[in-house]
Amino acid sequence: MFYVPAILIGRLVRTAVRLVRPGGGSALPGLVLSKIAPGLLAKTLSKFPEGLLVVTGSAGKSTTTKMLVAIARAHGKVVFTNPSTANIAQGFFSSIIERSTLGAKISGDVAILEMDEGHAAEITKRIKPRQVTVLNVLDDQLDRFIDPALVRDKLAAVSERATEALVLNADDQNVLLINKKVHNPKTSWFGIENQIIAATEHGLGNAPTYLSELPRPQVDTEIQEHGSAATKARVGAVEVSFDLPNRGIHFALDAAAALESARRYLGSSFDAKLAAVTLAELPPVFARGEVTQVNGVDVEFILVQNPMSFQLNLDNLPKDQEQVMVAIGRDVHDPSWLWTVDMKHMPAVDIVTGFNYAEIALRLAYDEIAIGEIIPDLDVALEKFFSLPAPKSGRRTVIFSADAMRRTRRALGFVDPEAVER
Amino acid sequence: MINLVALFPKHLDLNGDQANLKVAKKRLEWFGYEVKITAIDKGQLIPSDADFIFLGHGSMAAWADLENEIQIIAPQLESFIARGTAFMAVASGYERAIELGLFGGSLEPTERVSKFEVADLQGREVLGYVNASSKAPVIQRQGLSLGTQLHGPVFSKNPALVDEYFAEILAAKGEQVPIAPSSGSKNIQVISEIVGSVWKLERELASE
Repeated sequence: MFYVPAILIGRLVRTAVRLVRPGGGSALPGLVLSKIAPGLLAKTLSKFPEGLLVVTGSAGKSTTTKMLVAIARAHGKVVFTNPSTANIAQGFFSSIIERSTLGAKISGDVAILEMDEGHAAEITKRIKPRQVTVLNVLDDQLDRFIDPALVRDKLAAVSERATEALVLNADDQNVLLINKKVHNPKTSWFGIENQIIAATEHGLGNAPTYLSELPRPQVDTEIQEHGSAATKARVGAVEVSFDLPNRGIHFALDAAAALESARRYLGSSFDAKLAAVTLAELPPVFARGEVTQVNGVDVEFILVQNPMSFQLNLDNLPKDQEQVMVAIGRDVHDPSWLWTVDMKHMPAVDIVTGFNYAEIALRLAYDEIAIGEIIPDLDVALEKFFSLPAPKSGRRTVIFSADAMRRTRRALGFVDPEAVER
Repeated sequence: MINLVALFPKHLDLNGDQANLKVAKKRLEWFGYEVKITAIDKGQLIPSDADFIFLGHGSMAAWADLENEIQIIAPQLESFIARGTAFMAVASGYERAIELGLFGGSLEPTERVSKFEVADLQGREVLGYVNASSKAPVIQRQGLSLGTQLHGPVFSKNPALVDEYFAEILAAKGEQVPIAPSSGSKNIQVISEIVGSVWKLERELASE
């Protein structure tokens, strides 16, 4: 009963925020709760009978977690998970406010959570995860993390704390270095057949280690064929085929990670065919290639969060793209990384907007990419963009960062991702 | 032909630092010059016709991999600078250059700063992003050597600095310095307007 007042205060703050900003998400309730009852998180997460599964790494956490949760649920598990935008400490506390009883208990067999690489290192100090999945190390959020080697150290610390299973990416040399440091005997591997990676223009975008290449370990789950969506994989000894909901090799990597993570968690009850059917039936994660109708016209929303996702999404953009809006929001603290992206596949841009509109406009202007209009205010930009005549070729496309995505969703009246239960 | 030389660009582009060369090249071309960028990778030396030598910012792993190369290239770099060749170093490249004695300043550790900064360079304001934990001056000039903690594409948002700096480099080379851009005047004007917006926002963020 120790946490009852804290949870009540958290709920009160949430109600107050919703009164001020209907439909809008906020980190404030979670932040308040994390300050007044910091021990609550470990307490709540330790109550799941089958423990805690963590998905971490620089990129692909949301998609992998969503896939893993869906596969676990298809196998009859009751899963508690966090919404994709709540992968840092305040977000977990927000989820507790949403879902727990006043006694700080959330019902379910297992918690499967995506965790930001910085927060994962902190949270797993207090509660040991049963299973950890490490996706990759990219040159990402360097304003916070400074250097990819420091991210690797954090992920190694998280990996060390996995009690039952450690699931690692065989195609990132950084992850092989983590394995060398951790030496967890309960490690298994996922990956993509190397010729598929070699055929892509920019590979998987992992941070270079500049060391002699470590040999690729024997892979337990591997993507063996990957077309635009059609994918074939070997999971353990079983071969499966499925269509992925999103295009691009990074989604194939996420699928491999989810399949291997599910195989390890579910053990003898894991059914690879059921897992493949589940993946094929998954709706796309919002803004990871999802097509939505706005004003009666198909719109594709593309989320770019780091150099790799910007690059891979640009490389996968249809060649006849005609209508594009780019919105870079406040989440991009240091916009320098925009200059590491090769913009040669960026078509002419109709509208540039978002908190960092000037930085992205500058980036495009130095590459002499035509910009139709620069509109600082995102709401005005959205209204103008969605009022344009329907494109004659290609699909109307919005490329945005996470903050611009949240604001766009709110402006268009879509459900706020922080309120979405997956 | 103006030769802009990038030292180990595959290693030293962690924050888009090599974009400084792209920006310099574009602006010089818009002023009517012919420009090339020469990448110097491991095992190569600085070409004798270098007009501007650039040392970017890299990860700890990148610098560890370059350690021998830096030892080899440092004396060569020193003699180019002594002969008056322009040299620019940013972020960890600048810190390495201070260690090599190519700039003044100290690398004493201090609390890490990760923010926008408006720094003073001989009376001119220069805007950029700093993410550093040493006491080195944020920006400094020694002859035609320019060193700064401001990482990434610092040239992109300081076009007046670029134009004046390269005017000095060209004058030292004995080239005629044009007063107005030739073919690229529209680009220069568009960029000038965007830079105004960048400054407005980031000056405010720098003061937070």
